[in-house]
Amino acid sequence: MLIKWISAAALAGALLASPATAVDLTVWAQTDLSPSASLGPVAEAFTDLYARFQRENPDITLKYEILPGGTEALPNLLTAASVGNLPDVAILDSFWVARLAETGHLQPLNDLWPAAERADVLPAAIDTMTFDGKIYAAMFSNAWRGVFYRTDQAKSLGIDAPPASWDEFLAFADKAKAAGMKPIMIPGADTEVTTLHLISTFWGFGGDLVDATGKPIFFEGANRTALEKTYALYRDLVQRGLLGTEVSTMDEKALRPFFYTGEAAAIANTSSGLQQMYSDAPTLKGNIGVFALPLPDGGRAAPILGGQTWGIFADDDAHKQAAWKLVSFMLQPANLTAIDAAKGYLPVNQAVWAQPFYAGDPLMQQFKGIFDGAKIVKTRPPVPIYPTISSALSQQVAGILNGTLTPTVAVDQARDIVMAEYTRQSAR
Amino acid sequence: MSRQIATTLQKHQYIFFIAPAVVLVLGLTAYPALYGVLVSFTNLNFGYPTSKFVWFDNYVRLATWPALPQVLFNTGVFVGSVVVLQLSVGLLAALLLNRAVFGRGLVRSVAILPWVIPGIIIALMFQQFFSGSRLGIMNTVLSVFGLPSRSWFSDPVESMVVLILAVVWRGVPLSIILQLGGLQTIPRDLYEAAAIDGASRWQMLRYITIPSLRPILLINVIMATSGTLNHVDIPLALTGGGPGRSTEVLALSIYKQGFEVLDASYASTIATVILLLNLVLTIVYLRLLRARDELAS
Repeated sequence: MLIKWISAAALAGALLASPATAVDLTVWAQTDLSPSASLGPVAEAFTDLYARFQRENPDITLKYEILPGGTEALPNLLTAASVGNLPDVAILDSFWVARLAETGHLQPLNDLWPAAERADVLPAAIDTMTFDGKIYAAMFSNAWRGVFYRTDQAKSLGIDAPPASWDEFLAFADKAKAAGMKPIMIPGADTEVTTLHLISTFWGFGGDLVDATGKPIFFEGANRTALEKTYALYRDLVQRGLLGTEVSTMDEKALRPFFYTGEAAAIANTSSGLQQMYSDAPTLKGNIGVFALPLPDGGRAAPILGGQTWGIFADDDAHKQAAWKLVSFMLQPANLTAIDAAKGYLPVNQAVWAQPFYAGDPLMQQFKGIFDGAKIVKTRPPVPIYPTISSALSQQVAGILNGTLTPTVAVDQARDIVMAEYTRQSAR
Repeated sequence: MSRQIATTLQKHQYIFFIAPAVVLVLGLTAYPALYGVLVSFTNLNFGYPTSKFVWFDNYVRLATWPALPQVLFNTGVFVGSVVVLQLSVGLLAALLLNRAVFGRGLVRSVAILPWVIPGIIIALMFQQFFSGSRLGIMNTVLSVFGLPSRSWFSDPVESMVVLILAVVWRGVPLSIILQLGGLQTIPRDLYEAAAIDGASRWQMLRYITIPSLRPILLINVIMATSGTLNHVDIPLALTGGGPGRSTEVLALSIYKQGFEVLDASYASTIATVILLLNLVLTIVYLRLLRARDELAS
């Protein structure tokens, strides 16, 4: 009996005791990219992958913590950086990486990430995360913003293929209007999402926001022309009765109900919202088509490259290696597909595009075709003045839509806001 | 000497008991507020790695901000309407619930519900209610009467009205609780004496109920004013300040500057102005109450 008790105690002790080299790995991520995600499949994917990683690496104990959503997470990370309370590894918006690299706490991945694996990634996704030759984050997702339409509705209007030119787009919109639908809805609220749709068109017109030194130039020369054309496009759509002024308070989420009910023939939205759309309106599955907005000068709205990345903050070797083990595990094509597919993200790895989920879905292949065929693929400029530029550009949209601002005045107003801030910040 | 110290310590031993709570409360309220004031004198921006003191630059920026008149006007309309509606609807409901009506207990319990629902959920509920699509509940109601759908949030006035309604709906339960508590402390004899003297219901309300409730009403006014002035969740999630800037209030400007433009110092400047507004309004209310009490006595 005594031997039994001693054996049981020894076994319990062995099970409870941490391995000598145990590493506690703290992971920070926004709720939507964690086991606590509100979208069921995403929560399941993260729960499953973290559990598998834990089983395969018993010497590492994962502790995931939640970051606030949206841009609010960046101040949290910066505050944590200033008091030395950063996690070992985190999921970061690609747009924050430049600022976080500046803190000196984000670890370069050059030595951890084998070149052969990096070769599978879209070169632009590596370049945008590289500063002074050091890769600071591993991008694992991308999102596309453009126009979504229902294929059944388009067929009922006599349209079989997405508009390939501005004239075809106008014909599509006019038919939708004649059928009593809202031809197109584009976000117009004063938010970053509005700016993203706006700059996609602006880049399509050949504009640039900042120069190589990070100085704002969107109001000069050809860039001004491109931005005025962009605002004029919004104004002209309103004047033709193809875009309603009601979008001036709407973001992408607010447009979706109009899409679900068929009130809108097309909405400007994001590929990241696709799974949510399928969840809200399952009949949309297999019934969505997409196109980049054709522009009057023959071009198209340019796709924006940007998504989520893995970044490592741990600077001691044990934690850094453990963090890379996790990142490396999450970047394996099958695992990456589980996350990207559940979330509706587009991959940046060729190996993930080749996975059945992406290779077998016509809509996903349409997204791939848009990125592969785009003349320009850009990221938002990773410069400190960008949030001010974004805010200044989106602020003008309501005035353009309701006709109180001309494109020229809108550009002037945006310039005044941005340059006042740029001058102030240049003097720091 | 040591006996003197011991006596003093014994006399003031309560300090040791309240000190932890005082330190905790001050640490969680006064320290962040003062730190915010300090930040408002710097050029701290989360987009840049360094910051320095710029003294009153941010206050000059705020004073010369072209949108300031509109944002102040919006804030005045928003806070004024919410406080007046919240207090009057709360008083009306409290007067009804103070009477021996059937189901009073149940109604009292149900009336508190909006107060316990998070602001963000209330905003989403009202968004669903007034959504411009056919899925919007109000538009469904309109369609029953054969009326066309409306885009409620595209009109500046309608947006502000919906925003005020949402915040009032959330705040009324607090007014009910406070005023119901106050009503129950008013002695019955006053009403009986007034009835014998032939006072009408309106006269009883005017000369007994409202004067007796004045301290409670004052607390309610202060809480409703500061609460509404600081409201960010419902305006942010419901209208986002739009269309244009037609529903942007000061608290929302803090959010936009702090979390969208990442300009922490400018956001702190606006927050400091709100803090001062709160203090000034509280002092004014207290002075008014004291002046009326002195006049009455």
